[in-house]
Amino acid sequence: MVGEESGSLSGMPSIDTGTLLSVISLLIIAYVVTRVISFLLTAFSEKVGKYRIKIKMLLPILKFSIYGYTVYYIMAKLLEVSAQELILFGGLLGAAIGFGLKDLFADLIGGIIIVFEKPYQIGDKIRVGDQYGEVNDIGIRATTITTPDDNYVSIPNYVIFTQSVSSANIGNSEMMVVTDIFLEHGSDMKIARKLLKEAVVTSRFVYMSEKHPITILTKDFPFYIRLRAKAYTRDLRYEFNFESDVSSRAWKELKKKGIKPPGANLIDSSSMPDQRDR
Amino acid sequence: MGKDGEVDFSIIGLENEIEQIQSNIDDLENGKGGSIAIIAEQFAGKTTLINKVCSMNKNRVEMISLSSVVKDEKKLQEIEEQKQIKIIDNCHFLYRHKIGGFDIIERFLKTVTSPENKQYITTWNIHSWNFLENTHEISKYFPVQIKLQGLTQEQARQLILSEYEEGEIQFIEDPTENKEKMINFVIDNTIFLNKEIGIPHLKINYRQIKSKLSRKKIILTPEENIFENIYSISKGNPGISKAIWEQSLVYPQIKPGDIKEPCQDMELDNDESFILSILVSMQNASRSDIIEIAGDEIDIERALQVLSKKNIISSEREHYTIKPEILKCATNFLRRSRLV
Repeated sequence: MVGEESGSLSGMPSIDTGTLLSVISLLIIAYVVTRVISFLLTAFSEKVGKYRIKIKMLLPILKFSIYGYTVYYIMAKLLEVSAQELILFGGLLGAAIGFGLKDLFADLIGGIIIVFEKPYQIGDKIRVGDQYGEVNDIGIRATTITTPDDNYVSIPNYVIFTQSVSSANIGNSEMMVVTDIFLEHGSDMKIARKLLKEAVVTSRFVYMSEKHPITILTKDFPFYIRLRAKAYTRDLRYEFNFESDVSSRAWKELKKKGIKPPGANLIDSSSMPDQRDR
Repeated sequence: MGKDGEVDFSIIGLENEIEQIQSNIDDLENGKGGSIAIIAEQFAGKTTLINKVCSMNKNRVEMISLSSVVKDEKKLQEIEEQKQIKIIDNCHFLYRHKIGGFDIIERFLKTVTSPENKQYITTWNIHSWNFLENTHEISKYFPVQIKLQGLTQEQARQLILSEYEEGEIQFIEDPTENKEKMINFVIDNTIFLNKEIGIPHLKINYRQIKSKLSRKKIILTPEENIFENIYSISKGNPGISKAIWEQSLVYPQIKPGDIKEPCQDMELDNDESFILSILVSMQNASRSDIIEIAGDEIDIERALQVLSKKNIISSEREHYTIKPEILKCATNFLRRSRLV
């Protein structure tokens, strides 16, 4: 496959046209196989409900394995690269990384770390920097997410080295959703807590189990009382539906009991405390 | 055993549970015992069990059977009279899956734990029970919990055939060409843009494949084949077993091929799945109750129409219930969607 032509530079073996075509064909086959497996596995995972994310976890591993094996096969079998040539290749690669491919290399290493360390998986809801959304794909170079506004955002894999990444569900279908309701001082909190709890447990998006309890918290602020429900939705795709469903149904009943929100001027976003505090 | 020493087939498979409840009733006279919850899915024989217990303790118990959602507490007060032991059938009707729908059950649970030395024997749908366990920790109110197990294949056979004379039913071998195939070409109907359209596709018959794999070259008689098929669908649920039998019997004959796999691949949207989960938990519900529970955001008419068209539910005088033969696959579907 590899010709030892007398006129080649530095005694390096040259690659004949047949080998080159084989290499290109193999890369195309690897790409097509990856796409087909991704499509089939994704379609299957959508049918199995709560196991969706567990199945999608296999995707990046398969992808890296297929590409990894293809590269190994090309190097070892087609090009028959010797140890000496490998060192030479390593040197060239090092130079290439030093000159301009270092980001691409960092992305590749980042991708491998994401696959094995699993800071997040396909299907997770993650926040990286200012971006928040559901992970669609973990590729060789970048991770793509879909934001709540349906924007498709590509995040380079090396970002995991430089920024903190938060995953809302770490590979599970369910995820915690925090729903806040603000009430005026003097409201009957016993009734309000009961109604909010019932709005949560009767929501068609809720998920409850021994390990996934519902918590209702109350906190006084100078101009209003915050009632907070912490509960899990059965599928992270219902995150916003769940929040909206609980909030709207709770308010409908709270108003019937004469419980009101604080004056509109008292809740403006600039004066709000950090929503993530407890 | 019945009065004349005959076997009472209606309570087949429930003997241990009856004994356990009877022992608890006896304990009460000695100042022991506690309230009992009998928990099972629909068609599993809760009412049969409770009726038997009631008939065995006529002078000691009073019973009320709830058949629809309790909206007025007076219904419960009817039984708070003299007798020491109260039996309440279908307690899942004590709450509604809506905001403000838990007041009656909360008062009932307080009654159960009141210091008066009274015992309650209650029956619950298992999905309602699991829901109330998450919301109200209901198991803490009932020290004795009895979960009904399904019948064995042989018990299901005995129960079904107990209604016929010996030799009355003819079990017939399938003609070769009518035997179930492992892969079938089927057309499923679905509603698209308010029109019913058929979607042709191939469907794998898992039951047939499993049967082929597990048979290990043992040739079964048509009768064994029939009851094996019924059992594989009903998983020992007596009500489901009977329903499948009645649907398949062309009196007085029945063939293994007549026991059709009732489950299609369920494709339901979120609203339809939610309505189905309500029906699976409540066992039966009126249209008005469903409307009250589902609220304004669900198109209930459309969801009920889809569930009816797909032969998942049946209705009678505006009361909806799941079809027995569908219960198992509906429950599996809802479990995958985490709605039960």
